[in-house]
Amino acid sequence: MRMKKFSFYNPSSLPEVWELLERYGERAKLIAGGTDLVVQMKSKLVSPEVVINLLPLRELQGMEIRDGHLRIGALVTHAALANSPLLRENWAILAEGAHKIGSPQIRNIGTIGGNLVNASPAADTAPALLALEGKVVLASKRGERQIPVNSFFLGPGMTILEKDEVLKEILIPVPPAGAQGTFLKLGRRKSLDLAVVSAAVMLHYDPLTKYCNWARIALGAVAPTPIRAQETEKFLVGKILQEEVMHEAGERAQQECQPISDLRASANYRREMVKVLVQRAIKKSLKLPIPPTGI
Amino acid sequence: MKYPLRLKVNGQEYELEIFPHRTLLEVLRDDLNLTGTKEGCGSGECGACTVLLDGEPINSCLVLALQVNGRTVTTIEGLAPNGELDEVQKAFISQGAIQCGFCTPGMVLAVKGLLNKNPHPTEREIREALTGNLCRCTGYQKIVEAVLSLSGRPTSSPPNSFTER
Amino acid sequence: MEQWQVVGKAVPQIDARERVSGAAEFVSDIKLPGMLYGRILRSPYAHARIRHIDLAQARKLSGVRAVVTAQDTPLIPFGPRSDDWTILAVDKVRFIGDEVAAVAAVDEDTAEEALSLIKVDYEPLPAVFDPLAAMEPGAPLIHQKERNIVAEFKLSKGNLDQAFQESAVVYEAQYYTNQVYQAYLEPMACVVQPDISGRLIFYIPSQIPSMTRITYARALGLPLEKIRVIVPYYGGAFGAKMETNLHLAAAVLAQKTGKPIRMVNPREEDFMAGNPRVPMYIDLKIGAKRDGTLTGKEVKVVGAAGARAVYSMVIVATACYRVDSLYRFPNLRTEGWTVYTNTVPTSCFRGFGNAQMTFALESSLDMIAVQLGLDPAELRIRNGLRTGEVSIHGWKIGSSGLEECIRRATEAASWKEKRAQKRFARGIGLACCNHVSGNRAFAREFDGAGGIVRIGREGKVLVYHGESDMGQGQKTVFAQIVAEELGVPLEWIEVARVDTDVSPFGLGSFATRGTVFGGNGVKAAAADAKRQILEVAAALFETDPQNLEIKEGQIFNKNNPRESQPFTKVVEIGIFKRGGAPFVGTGFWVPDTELPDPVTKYGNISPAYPFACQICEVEVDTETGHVHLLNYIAAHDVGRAINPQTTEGQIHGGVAQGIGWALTENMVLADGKVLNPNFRDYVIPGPLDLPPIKSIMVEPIDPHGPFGAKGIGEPALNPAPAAVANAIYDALGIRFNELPITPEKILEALKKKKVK
Repeated sequence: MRMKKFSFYNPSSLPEVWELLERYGERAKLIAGGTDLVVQMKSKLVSPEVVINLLPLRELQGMEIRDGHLRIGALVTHAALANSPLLRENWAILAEGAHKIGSPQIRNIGTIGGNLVNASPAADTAPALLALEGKVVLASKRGERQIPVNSFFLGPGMTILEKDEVLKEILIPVPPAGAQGTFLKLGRRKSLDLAVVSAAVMLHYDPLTKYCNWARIALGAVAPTPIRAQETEKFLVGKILQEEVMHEAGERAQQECQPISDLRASANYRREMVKVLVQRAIKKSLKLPIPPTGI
Repeated sequence: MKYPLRLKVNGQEYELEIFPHRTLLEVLRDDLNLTGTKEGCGSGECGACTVLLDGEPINSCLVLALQVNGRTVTTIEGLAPNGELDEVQKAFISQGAIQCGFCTPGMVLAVKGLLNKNPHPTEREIREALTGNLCRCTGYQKIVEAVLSLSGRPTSSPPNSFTER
Repeated sequence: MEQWQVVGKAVPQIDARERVSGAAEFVSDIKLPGMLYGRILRSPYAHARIRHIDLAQARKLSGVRAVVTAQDTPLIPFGPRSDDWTILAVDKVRFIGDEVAAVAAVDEDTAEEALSLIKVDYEPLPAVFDPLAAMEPGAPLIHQKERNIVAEFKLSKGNLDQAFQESAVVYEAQYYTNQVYQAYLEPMACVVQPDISGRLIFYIPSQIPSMTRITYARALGLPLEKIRVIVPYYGGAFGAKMETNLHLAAAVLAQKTGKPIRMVNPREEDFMAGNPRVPMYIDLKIGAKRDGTLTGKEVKVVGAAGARAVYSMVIVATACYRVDSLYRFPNLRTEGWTVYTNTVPTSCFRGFGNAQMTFALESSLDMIAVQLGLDPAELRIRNGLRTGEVSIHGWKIGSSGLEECIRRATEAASWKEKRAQKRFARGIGLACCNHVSGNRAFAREFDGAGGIVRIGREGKVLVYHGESDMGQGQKTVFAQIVAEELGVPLEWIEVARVDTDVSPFGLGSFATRGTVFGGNGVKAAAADAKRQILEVAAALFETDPQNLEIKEGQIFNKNNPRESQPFTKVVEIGIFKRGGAPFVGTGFWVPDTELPDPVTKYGNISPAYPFACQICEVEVDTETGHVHLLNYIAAHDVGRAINPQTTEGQIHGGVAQGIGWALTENMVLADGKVLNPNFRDYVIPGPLDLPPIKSIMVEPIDPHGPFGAKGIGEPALNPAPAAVANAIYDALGIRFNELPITPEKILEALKKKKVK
């Protein structure tokens, strides 16, 4: 309902941010788009004494190719990702993920950095970043470190971000040439919903024989963090992608998840849907028709 | 402590001093007396608080006012500055897209945000653009028809029943 | 076919400009000088004794102007239909969200902070959350009522046991209609302003301003004239916005501080302490002959009232017997119980018990059609009441368009062809409903409506009524009726907001009565104004008033139409002749409805009965359990559509709410706590979730409604949940008797079916 009062800072560079983080420590929170933080502050889940506004920071903006990687600044909005022609070539599933977040209004100010740092197990940019083997760049006074997204999440709402670090940007390698992928999100209605289950799949296969030689599968909302289904990936490599293989892939993915029952869905349902979504995502990556699925 | 805030709202420059915990929605409604923008939920889930920030629809209930210092905001009051209603507003009226009217300001601005980028949206594109705006009175159909009447595209909705009685 | 100028035309709402420009002042927009902000401290316990409340710290907080508890109120037990309310909790709290204390402060931050400084010492008590459990011996008593029963309903007619014996099929099933939330976009709100004489002005979103005034006067221990109710624009209601302690707490703060108080429910609190739908267990047993003629019905209804009775007992009663006047049931046995539970008090939501029962009835009828091998549409037509019939409870069906609704809906839906297709996971379902246009049994005082039409010198027509426009288009319909009656352009008509100091005593907007009652009331007032003006005109034209007519703002001689005068000119002449006094027409309409007999329930309670038939087409994703709605047809008997555009808008909105209820909406309660008090987890349909809705208006022209009109508000929703459930049955061969029909329930049932 009402946020508690706080002091507000508008730093213009990362060193200023680090200085503030050092000064205030646990009493401070960084704010980007605010779509998660403001909601949490209003319900008093968090009540920082100091709020540090990241929006003015140039270093955290922008998207470009750099050293053979796609670099995305932490402050890039979901709308910018969803509409980016740059992503369409090789990283389309990230655009798909960003497109399915919230609503147009949320996407216009919510940021990819914020989505990652908030670390919801259902975060919609995470499965794509996992499947694309992205890395986050965490920057502090002590220097920068690059962490695979796969190691970034520790639990619901928890990441390895240190108290004095800022998530600066995301680096994504170019997937194997010709790789196809898709992101599917299942909710309770067709828009403005949290994922009940989500799945990002990237595959590289021979278009004629459907022989799969590379696979990445990531799942959201079915474990304490977004996860890679690495056993399922291993299973797919070397297989011909036909119905039974897709079916078995779905079942193996089920084994790799640990869903919980909550208000939105039961663990059983989530587990069932992992199978369905993985199968359908593989199918869609093969350019085969699937029923309209979720959001 | 209060901080200075410069905002251009509906073409008018404002200089205020506000507490940082105040959202853009509160500043618009309480400090600038622009009560056309509504609060339906306070958590970005209903879209009644939608305004245009540099032309893009956002939930003003989620934005700390100080974070948009120096930027341009358009509220519903800014659409008809000389009393002449905007074409979207006129379409809403003539197509019966308004019932209680509480969602309407946010809905109209979401539509403006869409049409500014895509002047001829399909029905699907319209519905997608409105996914951030809940309406409980209309079932959305006449809202979609109102936008389609501006878009020049076909509708999947059946013709209005008063042609069939 | 009469030629109406304005009635029957799809005109935009007369205040659409105010709403679309943001200029309309809603309750939560009102700012008055010196205004303070109020908040309520709500109980975190479902059932507890209050040992002690410590206000000291809260009162000391800078910016706090008043902190009140029950001790600051007259401690008069009251209620809209009972005596189990108090403004603030006295010795016990009875649900999570119950009002314990209230605070007024200079801003919302301070008010919220003050709440956190109030210390309440609770002694938790055992609580009960389900109405069936609450009726069990040994269940904790919430009020001092045996078995927690608020009211019982009993009704028997004919010989049901014999009827069942003589039936070819007897179908029995249990249903559960869950608790759903109206989800109006503007949360409950008020501004209460005290004046120097001790009067309180309530700016409230009220569907029933005059009736609310009576309840509030009683609660505050004030004479009626000390309360004034003004109804500004408000953001939806769908039944929820009647009496609420929110307003009364604000009133107490206004009295204490001498300042206007604005109180708006944060959305979370609106979920916790609003007025959601009465959830019901429904046992239904229906008999039918081989040819589909219904022989009788046995009904048991148990509805949860929540922690205090609002209108739930009337809602349960309605559920018990309204459908008896939809189809012919010659034999009946009906029992209903309204039961207290330690949950948020339940109340009116579009459909008012008839919606709940319609879900059960229309689901059962579908199964009877299946068992008899009959077309479900034909089954409805065979049994549906027709124009001129009198139902078993004495309801006089002045007009029934039910059959035409069914025929036109089935044709538009390609019903026969689609049903013949028999594709697994694809289905089409049909459901009908009846409703009332007004309910004599709801308000004891009287039945009827009045109006005032004031015509000023420039011809501006100001209409006063006592009902309530919550966005449904009521003001516009009234304006159209007055314009038509007077013979002037619609643009001349303005409809004043309801102010109990000036407006007629209106029973209000409920029971889908607005158009018929309010419409007839203002029509009578307009006729009176017209009569007065024609008298003046008669002198001018030197003829008798009955030779004159008014059309498009011109008064002319019927025998010599070229002899005409502008309406405005005649009005001006008349006003100047009368020392400047405006023309004021007053009128009223009192139908010959009857209070039902307390035992037999016999009595014609409404002047007009709307009917409807809705058809839904679905495709079920049998892997995810999601239901895709492909198509929706809604055929409504509205008597005559005064405004087809607003009527259609109501149909779309009602269908949308019914679909939400059928598939995704559920207030999730655990130990009395609402787990999803927000729009993130209380899921209402968004723009991508609804199919295109085709509406068909059937107009049998009712003998009692204004220009033949009946109501539309609630019938728009009633059939929807059953239409969806019946379509799912057609698709999967699986019956779902519990709402909402979620993907998980569908998958679970599909699994069970496969195993069998």
